[in-house]
Amino acid sequence: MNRFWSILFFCVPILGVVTFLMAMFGIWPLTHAWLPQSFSVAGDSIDRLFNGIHLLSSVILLGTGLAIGWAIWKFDHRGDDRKKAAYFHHNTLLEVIWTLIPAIILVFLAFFQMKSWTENKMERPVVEVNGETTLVPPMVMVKAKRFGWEFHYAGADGVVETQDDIYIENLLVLPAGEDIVLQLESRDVIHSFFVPELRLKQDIVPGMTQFSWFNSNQETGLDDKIEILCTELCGWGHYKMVADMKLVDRPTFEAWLAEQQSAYSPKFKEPEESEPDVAMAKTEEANSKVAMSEAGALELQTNQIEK
Amino acid sequence: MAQATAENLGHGKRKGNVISRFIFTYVFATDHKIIGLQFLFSSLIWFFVGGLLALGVRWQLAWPWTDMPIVGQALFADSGGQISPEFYTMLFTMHATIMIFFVIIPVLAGAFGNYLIPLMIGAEDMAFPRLNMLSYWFMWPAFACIIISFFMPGYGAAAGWTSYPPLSVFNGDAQSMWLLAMVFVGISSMMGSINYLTTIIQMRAPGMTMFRMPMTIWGMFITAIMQAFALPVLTAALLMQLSDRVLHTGFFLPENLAMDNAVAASGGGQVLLWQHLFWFYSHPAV
Ligand SMILES: [Cu+2]
Repeated sequence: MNRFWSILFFCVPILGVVTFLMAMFGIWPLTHAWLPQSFSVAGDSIDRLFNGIHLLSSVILLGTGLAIGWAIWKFDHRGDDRKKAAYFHHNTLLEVIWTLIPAIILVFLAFFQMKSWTENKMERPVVEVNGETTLVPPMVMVKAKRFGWEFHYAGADGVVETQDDIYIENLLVLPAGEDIVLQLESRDVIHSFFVPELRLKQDIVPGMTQFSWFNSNQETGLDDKIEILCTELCGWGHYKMVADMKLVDRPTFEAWLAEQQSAYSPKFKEPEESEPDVAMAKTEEANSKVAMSEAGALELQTNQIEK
Repeated sequence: MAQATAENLGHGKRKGNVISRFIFTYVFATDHKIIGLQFLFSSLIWFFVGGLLALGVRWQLAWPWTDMPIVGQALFADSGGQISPEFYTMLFTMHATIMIFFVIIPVLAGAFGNYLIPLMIGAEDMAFPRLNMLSYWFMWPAFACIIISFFMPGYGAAAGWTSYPPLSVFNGDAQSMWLLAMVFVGISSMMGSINYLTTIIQMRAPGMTMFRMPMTIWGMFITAIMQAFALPVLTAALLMQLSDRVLHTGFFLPENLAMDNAVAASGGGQVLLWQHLFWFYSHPAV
């Protein structure tokens, strides 16, 4: 028992690193314990960053943890050799070393992550049209509102915010294997567009227009889905601000969209200038009715957002 | 240590009857140790309140949509003894607010700073004992505002401890009291920081050079610099948000903003401006 502390200090870094490695290689029971399966090209590069930074941290954690453990073991005053620890309170060389090493690591990380950041947040994908290179136009305009998601698909003209937009609530179906650009706007407060599987997160600030893009390398099919979550507190209903996302192949996507056109287009045309507030107020009213009703909480739980 | 100049600094032996002596020694105290203890014990009371709010949050997370035993029916009669989403939002907002602004900051800076700085650098007391007293008593308007906010429309602020507009601007009136409380906390911290800076720079004992100072004092020194120079920015931002709410200015509201079937009275502002101003202090602080 008198070696308790040194053993504890040996165990902590080892257990920590073993846990991390299990999560990194998806060893049971830590399969996808940290991040869900990646569905996009960007996700793969972000996962490499995530794991790389953790590997570096593991080395440091093991190094410092084992060094402390060793020192405690060696200089345990109840030990057999009863060695006395040496006390000194200044060592410039040591201080320079433990300042320089972290500084070098940080500078390295700054460059290591640059490519991934630029690809995912700064360089919007381009497309070749008639020999001319242009930015990929947004396929869907996402309007976030308390507490749901509006998706306005560019209609036949391929441009969002026009009369032939196709409007759908809380369901986003997109083709996989293509550069997809989303135009993100908010109707009221700050929201945040988050798809864990795509490693995609973008705040949506009222008064500003954001563009986000991704290229998914996996399909969910029409029967399965991943989730779009809001990750910026936007009021009492923030927790239920969830939409479904389905990634399918191009023909399935086109067939699906054509169906939506016939089913939804006349009814859900982009409203006139003055209408959005009224529409919003209605959903608000409906929402608060659910909240206020006698068995409110239970209904809220089961109903979620009406589609 | 304090005897020699007790009279000069206005504490220690006082004339007058027992009650007035008690009041000036323990209530309107100018002695650094007493003020440190005042900060400590008022923070501990809030620590308890913040802990209770956290229990509410944990209850909802552990047993969502379940009647809360014993107090549920009394507290949440409208929602059948359960925590409503509105109440939950308020719970974590006020838990964070109280823990950060009423516990961590006053305990670390107010209590330990006041108690330890003179002792660890060999000073008789803080440089400005009366400013020190004021810095403690400026916490009380903040306490009052927060208590009142629990009884105002919204029943407590519910826009998160970061109070991001436009959500915070559209919230119930409790949010205004929250902003006012944060202004008072800010003023209190600024007065404290001036005191710490002056004391540490001017009142070190002979031989206590800056580089012989204990690490603890260095930590408090850096914190005080931050509070003196970055906190005024946050305090100004809080007043700007308050004026957005009360006077309908448009510092943080974009053009044509609408929510809950209501249109903002003003616009033309920048939502992100708040985040820049808020985190200018809060990021180094946390
Ligand atoms: Cu939201």
